Amino acid sequence: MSLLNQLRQWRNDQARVEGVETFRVFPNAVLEALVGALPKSKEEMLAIKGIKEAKYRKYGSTILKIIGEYVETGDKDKKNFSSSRNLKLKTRNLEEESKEPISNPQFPISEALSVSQFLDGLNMELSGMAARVQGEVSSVDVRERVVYFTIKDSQDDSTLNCLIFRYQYEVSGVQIAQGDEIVVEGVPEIYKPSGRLSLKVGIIELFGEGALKKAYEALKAKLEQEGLFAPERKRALPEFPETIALITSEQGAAIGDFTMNLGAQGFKVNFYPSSVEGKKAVFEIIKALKYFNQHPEKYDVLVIVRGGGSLESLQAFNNEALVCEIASSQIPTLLGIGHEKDITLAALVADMMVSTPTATAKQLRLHFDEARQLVRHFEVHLPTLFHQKLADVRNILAGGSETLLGHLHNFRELVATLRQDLTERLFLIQAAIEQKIELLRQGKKSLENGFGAILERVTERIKHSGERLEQYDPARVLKLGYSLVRKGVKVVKNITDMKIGDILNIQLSHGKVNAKVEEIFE
Amino acid sequence: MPKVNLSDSLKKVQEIIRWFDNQEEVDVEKGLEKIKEGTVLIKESRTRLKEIENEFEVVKKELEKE
Repeated sequence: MSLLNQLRQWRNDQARVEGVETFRVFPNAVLEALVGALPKSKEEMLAIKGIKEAKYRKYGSTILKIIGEYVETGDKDKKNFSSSRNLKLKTRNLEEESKEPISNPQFPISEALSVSQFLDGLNMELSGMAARVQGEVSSVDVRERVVYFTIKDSQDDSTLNCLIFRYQYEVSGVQIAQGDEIVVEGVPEIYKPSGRLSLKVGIIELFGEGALKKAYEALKAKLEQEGLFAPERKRALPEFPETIALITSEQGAAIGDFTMNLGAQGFKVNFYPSSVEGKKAVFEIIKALKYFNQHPEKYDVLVIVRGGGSLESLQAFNNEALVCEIASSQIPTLLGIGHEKDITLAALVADMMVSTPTATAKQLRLHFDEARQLVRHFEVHLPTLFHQKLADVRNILAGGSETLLGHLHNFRELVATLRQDLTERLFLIQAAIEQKIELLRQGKKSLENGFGAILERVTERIKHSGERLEQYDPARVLKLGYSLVRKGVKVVKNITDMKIGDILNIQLSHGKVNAKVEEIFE
Repeated sequence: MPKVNLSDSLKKVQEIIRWFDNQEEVDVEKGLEKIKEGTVLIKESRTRLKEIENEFEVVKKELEKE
């Protein structure tokens, strides 16, 4: 590892422990100037722009040690500064300093130090003694900006004062209470106004499966109530993602399983290596999420993978700050975190979760595999579809012709039937007419016969009547010598019908005569 | 060459197939046009689906320079 990278790693770890931004420890420009100058003493170090007395007091001995060891070995690649903690453990402690007072420029024995100078010197040494300490919380005092608490040793009741800034306390996702067994990570420091030593804590973790389970359930209930796991919040992942933002560890099986199962889909994977265990993971994953979300338009999906583990080892993924960061991601999220029993809260809040890094990769390539099958199907199906359709039309036309011919045949049969029916009917009508004519003829004959007889009878009767009329004809009587006497128009039959002097008209057989009544005889 | 939207392309091909399925009487001119369009879409999709190695880029180094 290059000296610059060693210094960067130390600076980043130190900033994390102190809970400050990296540039607050040393900006990149100062690290580069240190690499350029390779200072061997306080004076050479103070000559570098950006390093003042206070900074030197705090970090000077550590920096000089890193540079000294680097220069001594002369082998830039073999030297492995795996962590600042390891490095700090190698620093001298106060006891050693007291044995070698002359070699320590901070505590010259010849002159007395002020209390402040002495405490500054102590703090400088203490700054290199970052530690991870386990104990039971014996008191908690939550103030506006700082949380003060004490932890005690379960064996001998030794007590350690601790403090943590509120924002770091919030990010830690742990609400400590008296009696909780916890692990803290921080740097010891003496508060000069009181002379009291406290551990400036950067990280708090609950210790023990029971406590973790309790905290998990409480946070799960809280987030559920806030609606963070609601199905309506879930966004659909793009069917064919192209650019993937990947967060996982560089080491371990997860990255291997993920890449091996991803297949060759032409994905562009932007990989942000991060711790995936411990509180460090919370900070790093949040940082990665923030990094990718600076340009959400660049990524189709954000993927976080990690292999399985116990509740304790997956604590980072049950951290409230991390869960909220995932929930607020503008890039759709896919989480593939193995778990034994309880699904991590980070997975529950993600847009989609699967159970392993392998399943995550398979999920991403799923639609590509399906699309390949579909395209193969289309390639075969589409060209034949048109021909098939045309063949269908031909079949329909052929079927149509047959139907038409069938109709025509039926029509012909119908016409023939109708014709025959008509002929039969005409024949019947003709026969009926002839029958009627015959009837008429017979009728006429009967009529003629009947009429002749009637005429004969009538003629006979007329003849008889004429003879009888002839008998009663007055003219015949008149011819016999009788006369018909009338008075006016009235025939006189009695003498009472006349009186003397009346003029009577006498009709003779031949001619008429008027006579005057002169005498009447009874 | 413009980027192929696989999802859209596959949907369009499916629409073409549906179009054929729904036609009682196929308009030959239009049918040929649709076949041509479908063939181009299939070709583009097949090209996109060819196995291409994934690109991996580690972003952390870039970060440290910030």
